[in-house]
Amino acid sequence: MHLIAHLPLLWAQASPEDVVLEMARLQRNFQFLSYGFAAAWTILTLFVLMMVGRERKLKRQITSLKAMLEERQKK
Amino acid sequence: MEFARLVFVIMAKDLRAELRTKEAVNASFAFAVVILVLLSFVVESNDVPLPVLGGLLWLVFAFAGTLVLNRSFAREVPNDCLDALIAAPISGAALFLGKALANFLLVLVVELVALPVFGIFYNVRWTQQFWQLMLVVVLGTWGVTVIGTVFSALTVNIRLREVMLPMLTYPMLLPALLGAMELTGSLVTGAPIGPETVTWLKLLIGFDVLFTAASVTLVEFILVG
Amino acid sequence: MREKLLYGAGLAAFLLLARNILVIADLPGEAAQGAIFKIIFFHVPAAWTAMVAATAALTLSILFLKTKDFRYDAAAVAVTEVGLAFLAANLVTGSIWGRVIWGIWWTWDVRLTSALVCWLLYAGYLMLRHAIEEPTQRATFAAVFSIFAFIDVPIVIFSIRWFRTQHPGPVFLSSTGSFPHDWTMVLLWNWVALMLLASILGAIRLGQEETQREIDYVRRMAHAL
Repeated sequence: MHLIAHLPLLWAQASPEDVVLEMARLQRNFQFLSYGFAAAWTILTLFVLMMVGRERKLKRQITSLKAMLEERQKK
Repeated sequence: MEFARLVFVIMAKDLRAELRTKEAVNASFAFAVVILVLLSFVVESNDVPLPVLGGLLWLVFAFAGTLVLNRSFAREVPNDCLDALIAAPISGAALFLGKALANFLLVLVVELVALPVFGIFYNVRWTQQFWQLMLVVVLGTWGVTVIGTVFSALTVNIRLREVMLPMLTYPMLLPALLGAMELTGSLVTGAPIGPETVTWLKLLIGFDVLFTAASVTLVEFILVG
Repeated sequence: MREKLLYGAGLAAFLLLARNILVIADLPGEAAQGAIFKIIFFHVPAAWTAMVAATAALTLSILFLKTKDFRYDAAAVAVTEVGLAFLAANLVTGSIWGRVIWGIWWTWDVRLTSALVCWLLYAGYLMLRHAIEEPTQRATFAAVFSIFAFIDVPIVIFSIRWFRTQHPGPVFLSSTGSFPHDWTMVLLWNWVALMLLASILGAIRLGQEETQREIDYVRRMAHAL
């Protein structure tokens, strides 16, 4: 059983060290993949946050405008 | 025919106004020399490959050219000359082309005087492919002036004009500058334009044609609004 | 009505993205590159989305110049901002991918450079808008600039065919491509999801721009009274 599991390695003439190296490479690949997706979604989130900020600014302008108009009507 | 005459009139007017004081051309040339001197501290001319120096040359041209272009429409603002020009019975395209041609000649003069200085300071034998180099200089300079003149009109009335013009112009110019840099870099080594570099020449021509057409079509909107 | 439509589209985009993430996670790693290759499912659709946004910005700018209808101007700003966000995402994922495969974060090859230049140009568009106060002038100048910036986009698309570059050639929808069919489908579905997301963001941004204009209008009226 054990021998059969190692057959592909023998066939590829790979040593256990190669396997460790390959695993490290795959690990690093996964790490960078997650960095990539995290960075991309962070950028989009930042854009959404900028829009939220703008929305707030608009709300503020509307309330100040309403207050100003009411003031005018009282006079 | 009438159109060509109007273009010529505007061009002659701009050239006369500039040659009376020569302030933009003098400032531009002095600036070019200053950058050439400053860059010599960055690159040691003995071990820098020639193609890199070709690139530096175009950076100097682009920076110095902006000084001329910056003045092109700004000069018309005092005394409301710009409004008078727009009100005059001249199409926006003729006004633009006249100004662009005048700028082109002025920038070209600055470049042709700066070129020998560059050759002396950096020990470059730039005359080896003289006519092909002149072709590249003319095409590259036309690209710089077309974009620069349009954006000079675009930024003439806005806040932070001196900052906005280079910031909008240089990214837009990049393809033309890239082509001119590559071509100049290979021409100063003595090699003529061959199959390796001809794509860059095509890029440069395409850039000039496209942006000239776009500018002539759209300049009416900028001037009249 | 509009809000309900937006919520519906948002839900659809969320479900589609969740499904795509599961499908992508299930795919095996690419033979030579391993897991990092899967970043292509975001990298490429983000670039396509940005290009669609640029095309939309061009169309809206031309429509504005033709009709002088400010709704087109507002829409042009909205799509430009969304496109800029997606292009930024594309550049960052590309940079991280390049770090793994090429061993460097950035290389100045033509395609990367022109993508970055596109980003700078459209950022310049937004800055130009900030610098102009008068609404009609702002909209007109911005529209002209947007058309100029778009002329840069074909250089991005075709540079990969014109020049030898470090960036790999196109692998989709071309005869020499080597991308398996079902992977292409996954990629296209993710593009649909990102486009949906971009449309939602654009619609919200457009609403904001319209509100801003109404506020400005009411304020002017109030001051005039």
